[in-house]
Amino acid sequence: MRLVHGMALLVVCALAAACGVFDSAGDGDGQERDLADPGDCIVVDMAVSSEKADLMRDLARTFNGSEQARVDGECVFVRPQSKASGGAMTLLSQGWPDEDAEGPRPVVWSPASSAWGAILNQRLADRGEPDMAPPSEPFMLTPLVIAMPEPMADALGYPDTPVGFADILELARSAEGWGAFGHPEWGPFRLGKTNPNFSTSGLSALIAQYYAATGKVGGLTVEDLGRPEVEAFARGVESAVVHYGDTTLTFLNNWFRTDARGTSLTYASAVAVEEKSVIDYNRGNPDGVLDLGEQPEPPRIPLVAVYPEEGTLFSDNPYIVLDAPWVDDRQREGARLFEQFVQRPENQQRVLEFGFRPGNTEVALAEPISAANGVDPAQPQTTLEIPEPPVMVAILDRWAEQRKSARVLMVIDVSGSMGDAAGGGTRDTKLDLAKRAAIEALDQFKADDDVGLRIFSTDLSGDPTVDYLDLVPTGPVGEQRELLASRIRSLVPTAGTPLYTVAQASFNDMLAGFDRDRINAVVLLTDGRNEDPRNADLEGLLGLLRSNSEGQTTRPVRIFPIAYGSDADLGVLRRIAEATNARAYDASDPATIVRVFTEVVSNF
Amino acid sequence: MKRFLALLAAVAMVVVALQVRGRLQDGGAAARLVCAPEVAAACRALDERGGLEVTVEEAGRTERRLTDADVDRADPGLDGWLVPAPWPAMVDEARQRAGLPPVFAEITPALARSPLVMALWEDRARVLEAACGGAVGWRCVGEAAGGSWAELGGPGAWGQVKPGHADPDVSARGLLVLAQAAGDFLGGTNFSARDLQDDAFLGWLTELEQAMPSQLRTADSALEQMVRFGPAGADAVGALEAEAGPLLARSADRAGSLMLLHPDPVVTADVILAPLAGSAHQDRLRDLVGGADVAAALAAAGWRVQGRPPVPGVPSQLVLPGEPGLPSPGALAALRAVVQEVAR
Repeated sequence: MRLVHGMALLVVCALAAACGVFDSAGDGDGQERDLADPGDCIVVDMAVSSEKADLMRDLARTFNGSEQARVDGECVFVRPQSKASGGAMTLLSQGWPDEDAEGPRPVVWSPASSAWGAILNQRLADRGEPDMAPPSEPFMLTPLVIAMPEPMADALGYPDTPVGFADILELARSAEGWGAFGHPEWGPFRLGKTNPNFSTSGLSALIAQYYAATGKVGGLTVEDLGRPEVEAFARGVESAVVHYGDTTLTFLNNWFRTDARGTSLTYASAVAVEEKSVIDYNRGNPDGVLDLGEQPEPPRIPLVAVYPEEGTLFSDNPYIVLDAPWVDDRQREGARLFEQFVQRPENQQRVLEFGFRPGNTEVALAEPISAANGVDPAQPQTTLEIPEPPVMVAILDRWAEQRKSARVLMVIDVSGSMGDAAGGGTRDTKLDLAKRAAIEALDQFKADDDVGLRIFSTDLSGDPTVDYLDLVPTGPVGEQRELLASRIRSLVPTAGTPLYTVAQASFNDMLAGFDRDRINAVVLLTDGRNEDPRNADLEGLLGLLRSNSEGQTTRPVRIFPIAYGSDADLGVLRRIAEATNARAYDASDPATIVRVFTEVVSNF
Repeated sequence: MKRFLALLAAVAMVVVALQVRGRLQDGGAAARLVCAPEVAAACRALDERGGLEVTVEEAGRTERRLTDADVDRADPGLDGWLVPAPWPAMVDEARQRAGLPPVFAEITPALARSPLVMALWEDRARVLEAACGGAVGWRCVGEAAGGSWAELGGPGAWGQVKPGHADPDVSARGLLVLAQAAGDFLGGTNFSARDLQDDAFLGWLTELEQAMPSQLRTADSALEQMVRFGPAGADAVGALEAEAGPLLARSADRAGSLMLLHPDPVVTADVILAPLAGSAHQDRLRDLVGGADVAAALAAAGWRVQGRPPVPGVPSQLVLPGEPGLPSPGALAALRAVVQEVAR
């Protein structure tokens, strides 16, 4: 059974890799125009985790063309591209197979945590291949913390009363919820977690969870993971999860938006995030990226960084010059020059401005790492040990079994425009690509996830009153994977797009069959905008969705729309997602649909 | 016939050896100096003068290459080794045990010296002092290692007692710190390989090593890692005064509450040049490393150099003994093997 789930994990990772694993900051993998043309210089390509991609591009711009960027008289051109840590690890383990799709093979890899380097080396060692990620020095740090809205941290007595992972996880399993702390109005204790296959915070939090379950702070073994009480603890924690996210930004953005509506306390009680994210959030910039003209406005209820009593793990941002066959000596030397540049005190000040702790010890821990931003530079006082690589691989395998089950309705637009050419030099239609992506996504569900299939379009079956059809009722995907796939394969485009009607109906149907032991969700793929004159009431739809998604008694059904193709109404789809505290996904380039489907399914 | 063939083979080997040695003695090629990272500053100064090929390599890696090298047949890749003692002596002793000739010519006197220090956070030092009943030393740290600070009377939030040092398998300073630690437990650094098999010692050493966070062992500098991560990273780290003093001075804002102790027994790292026997560059290397540039570079890097004032951050109150206070090279090699065993 474990093997099956291990394989499933690999399939997820392979799928993620095959389609250019996404950028957790949401700023898109790849490079910016001014970093695209290296001229005749020695090119040092970098794959960096998304939360620091802007910072690294900023530093690369200053470095490129400077006097420091020279190897034996030749110029060096550093070209960072954003790659989620888990996705880059998978790509490297496969030899970075497709440069057209994934960008150039990196000379330098800087994942968020050196744990990813250890996992990469373990995966290679399992195949009898040499290490690719040598031990490397960190150039900036940020500890994993438990982010909580300030009133909730106060209710727990923090910081006077120490709070640990074990306390949080016990609370998450408690039936009494916040009632035990005099706040029944906050409802149950809701825990937000990210998918550990993609998110470093998710991986670190999962490791911490196992330490809490075993009462250890180091020396975790594979045998520990299999102990019945540890398994029961893990399943209990997962059952309290609101939903998983591909990145912590989903939670932070939702928290920020619900804060504006005064409902943040009933969205989530605690989410494991990096300290840097708490700083960004409290500065009014939850995604850590300020767009041109964007004025950050601090939230009404700030977050507090709880430094776990048992210790925590650091995202240590190693600078790894890869021992890969495609890296030559000149690139290696150029990479070292950029590393020295990044370590210079003036550049480490920029690291600090971004909310990270500088790796260069000459630079003081100063603003913005301060109590005013909800964090404490004197913390943490101790760390948890990063487990041995085989243990980390086993942790990921077990999570695939133990994660909270999902109940998902896949709703696919089969309107006439889905028959348009997808472009990009293929003869496929948009529907062809969407079908392929949906079928591949089925492999990412575990056997006991419930999945159903609904299609929508006006004039379905020639009946003007039928806007959608249920092709496969929601049921265990393990039993109906083939049925789902064959129904998806047979889809053909028809007429218009009754978007609001199908969104409301799908939400209502999932709410009617709500299962509190599962993540209840709708995945809504559409390439257009509402074309149904019978129902053009967007505000009515949003009001209904919100009224059922707020408050402590809510039965959360989340709609994750995918805006597919350039004509999709991403703005409206975002509002629909946000009304249910979910997130909309942008697949305006049809070629990205497989990758986007992978992102969406990582929420379950 | 067999005797004739053997004689022929012997003659051929001598010819090959003479050719290799001839190449080694070719004064036209640049001299090659291998430096341990602890003395990289001196080597950078020499590199800037030109005319030398300088390589920085951990002492343990150089030692491995030389211990088994057939220097009569193959070029070992260096003309001299600038490193803290007694690594060259460890190489030649290991070779002697294996029936191989020594590789080094006469080793220079100490060019610079640095005592070993222990860096401790002040609040943790106070708790350890109380728990250990006096000055903090490695025996005390090893006994506390892996246990919780709460058991010692400190706050539970400090977690477990986490010691640290560089990897003694490859690092010159790492092995010297271990020698000092073992000396504290065994009552002096004149211990023998047999003393290291004592059960009580092995138990203590196991606690010390297994409580060490793994990321400290692989870091370029365990002490820098300690400053970088703050108290979360490590509680007590062994290092060279030459490394610790300047680092703490540079990092005053992050390391303000770190204190440096000179634990007993006093052990010093003494920088020496070990020229390769038969190298044509011996004299040149001796002249170069004995020059003012190297002395200035070592002093500026935090080493104690006769006739030069200490740099800011290097505490000068400890008067150094005449000898480094180290066990024999053989005992050090045995200690390294024991540490590798218990750290698994």
